[in-house]
Amino acid sequence: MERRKFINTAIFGAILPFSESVAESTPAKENGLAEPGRNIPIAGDYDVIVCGAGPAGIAAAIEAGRNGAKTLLIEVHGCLGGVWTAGNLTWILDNQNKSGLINEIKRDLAKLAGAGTVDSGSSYSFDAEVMKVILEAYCVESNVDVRLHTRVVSTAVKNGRLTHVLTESKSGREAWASKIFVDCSGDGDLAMQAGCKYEYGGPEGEGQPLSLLALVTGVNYDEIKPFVRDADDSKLRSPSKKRLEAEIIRSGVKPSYSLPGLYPIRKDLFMMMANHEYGYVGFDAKQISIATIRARAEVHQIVNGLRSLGGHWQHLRIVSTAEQIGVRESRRIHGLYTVTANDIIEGVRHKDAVCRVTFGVDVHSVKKDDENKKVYNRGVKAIPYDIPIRALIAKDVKALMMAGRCISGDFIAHSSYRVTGNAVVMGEAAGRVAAIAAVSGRLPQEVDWAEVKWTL
Amino acid sequence: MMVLSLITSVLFMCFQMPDNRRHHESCVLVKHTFADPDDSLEIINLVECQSPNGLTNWFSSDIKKSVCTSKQCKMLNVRLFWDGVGNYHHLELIDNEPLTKTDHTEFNADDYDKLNSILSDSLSVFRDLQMEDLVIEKRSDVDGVSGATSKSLTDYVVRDAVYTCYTLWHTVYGTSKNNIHALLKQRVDKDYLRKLFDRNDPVTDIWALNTMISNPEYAAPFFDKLIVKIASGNDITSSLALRAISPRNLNSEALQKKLANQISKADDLKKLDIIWKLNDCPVVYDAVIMQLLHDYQKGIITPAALQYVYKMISGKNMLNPDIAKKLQEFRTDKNRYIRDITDKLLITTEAKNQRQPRRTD
Ligand SMILES: Cc1cc2nc3c(=O)[nH]c(=O)nc-3n(C[C@H](O)[C@H](O)[C@H](O)COP(=O)(O)OP(=O)(O)OC[C@H]3O[C@@H](n4cnc5c(N)ncnc54)[C@H](O)[C@@H]3O)c2cc1C
Repeated sequence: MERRKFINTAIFGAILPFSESVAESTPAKENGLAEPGRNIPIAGDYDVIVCGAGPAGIAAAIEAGRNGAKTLLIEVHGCLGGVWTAGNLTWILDNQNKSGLINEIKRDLAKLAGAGTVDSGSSYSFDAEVMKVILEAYCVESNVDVRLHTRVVSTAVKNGRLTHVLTESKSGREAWASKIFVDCSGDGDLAMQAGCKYEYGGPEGEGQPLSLLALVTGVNYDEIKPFVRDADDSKLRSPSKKRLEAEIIRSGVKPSYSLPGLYPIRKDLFMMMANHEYGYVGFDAKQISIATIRARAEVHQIVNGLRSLGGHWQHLRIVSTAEQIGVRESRRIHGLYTVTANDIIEGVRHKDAVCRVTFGVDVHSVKKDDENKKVYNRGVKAIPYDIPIRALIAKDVKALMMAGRCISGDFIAHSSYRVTGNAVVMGEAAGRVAAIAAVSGRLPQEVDWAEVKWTL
Repeated sequence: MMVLSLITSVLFMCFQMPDNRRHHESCVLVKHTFADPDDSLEIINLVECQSPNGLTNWFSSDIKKSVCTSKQCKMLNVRLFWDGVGNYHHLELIDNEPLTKTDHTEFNADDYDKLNSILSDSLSVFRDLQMEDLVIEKRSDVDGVSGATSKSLTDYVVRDAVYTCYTLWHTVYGTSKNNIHALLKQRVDKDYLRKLFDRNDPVTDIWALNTMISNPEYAAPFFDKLIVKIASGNDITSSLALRAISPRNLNSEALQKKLANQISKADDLKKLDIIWKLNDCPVVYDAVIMQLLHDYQKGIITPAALQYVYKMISGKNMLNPDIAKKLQEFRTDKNRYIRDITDKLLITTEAKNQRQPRRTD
């Protein structure tokens, strides 16, 4: 035990305070730097531009493309999929009884041996590498232009209407014109840059913790089943997580998340979620840098610790830690409708429903102290409820829609609808409406819902 | 084999049904006797209420078992009922003898409700639990398995009666259910399945459809019925009906058209499933392709679905003048995506056709 502790501390102990201090010591600039005015080349002119290629963004872009819109998908990472791929979140919640792209994805994952092979109950697990290539194939098939390694950094708004986004990449600063834009950045970057108002966090402004997800291998499901969050375990409210925590503690490491989980993909491949970074805001580059470095060190500590226990853990290895730390919540952009806790309690139905959410409220404690004090559903008993298209249409800027994590909702509602099964459906609906609006020269709010021919 | 020592005897005609039964016709009570796989000295009796048409209305079995080894606990003494296809239905107390807990208190009404809901759940947590997972502490006066309920299980079991729940659940879904299924399996043939479908009972349908999925040879004669069920609006039966249709059975234009006709009645989820089923057919007939192309034009299927229709079009289909004409129309569709995928389809099939040696007359 002592030796284990020593190895972990020797390697990682120093990193945590070091990273914190580097970031903290950066002086705040009193005076800004005036950038000379310059002419930005218009790199392209589109019907629909989607910012962010996570579960919501890929669905939005593919559906816009399939509905005849000349579409561009802009993504800052080097792959499509967002949290599914760059984030290592290989676990789709609220994916059942939903029509559309989610079923195409599941079918193709299964065909290419990319579907999880351990029973995970109603959650759908998959191999992130196969997911990447499938999503790229869909974009090619639906004529979506994809721009990877490119970040949306600014916008041009004329008479209250969004007309361009500006991006930064290896190609420098570029401008892109479009008739309609869809913000699928998770963080609401595009909407914020365009001047939309937004909400963040709970009543006291605190957000949920970040978590860095890792893929691990070198262990055998049959041997570590008691520690795995599989279908059987989920029926018992996942006692595996407390067992895993005890096992990690036995190895001399106290995980920052008291409900660490091993989520099975295949018998020898698991997603691990074992840390919570409290108090960091997901849209602040300095803060997510600190959180990422701390989290990565902790994830390695945990895996090293478990491995040092020997037995069925002796060959445990990290395949990869996520490139993108998992950000549970960010900006919730004001829309024409705001989904609320009350909607969940009442199981609200809408004529313009794009998605029926069945996943309950799941607030990860906003402070470490709350972990053992506050329940994850915050006392809200969820009845399946609808998200209307209006929650996906920006209120403050015209020609802008949102899908996924950053739609218009309150703190509690967001913690329920944010999961990726819903993000895909929202993305698809936004993509279709955006395409109809763009091709017919209207704004999204001017498109009659009957024309969208949407079925839940 | 489960039914090795099956003895069947007709008991008597019965006109009185237990409460709450679904099929209230009169029936003959037939007693089947099986060897108990856990104890070769024991036998298990299963009573079947068989209606005049040969279908089963219900099954029942009396369970008399000890739930602990200390001899201080009362015996379990209940009658379990299953419906005619082996789904748990309800339980009755024999001689009004109540069920009791480890501390000998009697079950109250809530406990019976809870037990009933546990026994109604075929996927209950008990499915994969071992006895040793059930309790956290052993007591000296009663058998270990009758001790305090493990905390993670408390919401799922009748508190302090976990072994009773466990034993009954495994009776309902273990030995007895296997015996019932073995009995029914022996009876399955075309006529039997037809009678089951004629009941127009979704529960019976599920059993019949699952039987067809695992024995595809039974499905072919029921094609018409399966097709109707696809658009029935009942999500479970509709999915099972579609699964029961093997693409190999879709071997005529008429059958494929019947299936394709369901698309306009189905929801979006099923529409794609039907198209994927047709996709898996070795050959898709020209008339079916034409119908699907029309479905796109009428807005019945989405552009995404049309893309899968294109995947089933062969070079031979393209030689059909109507299909060729329709595809030419789609080259100028108002949707740019459709124009593009149509162009791609035409170019690739043309290239394929050119690669094939031309026949000279
Ligand atoms: C730790 C954690 C665990 C979770 N567990 C589950 C789970 O088990 N199952 C589940 O279904 N959901 C889970 N969720 C919720 C779910 O993952 C998110 O809500 C989901 O990411 C929403 O999808 P999205 O497409 O809106 O956002 P994201 O997946 O975050 O995608 C946003 C994309 O936009 C890109 N982007 C951001 N800003 C810019 C910019 N300025 N320019 C260009 N590109 C940009 C990002 O790189 C990213 O690819 C979890 C979330 C976290 C953080």
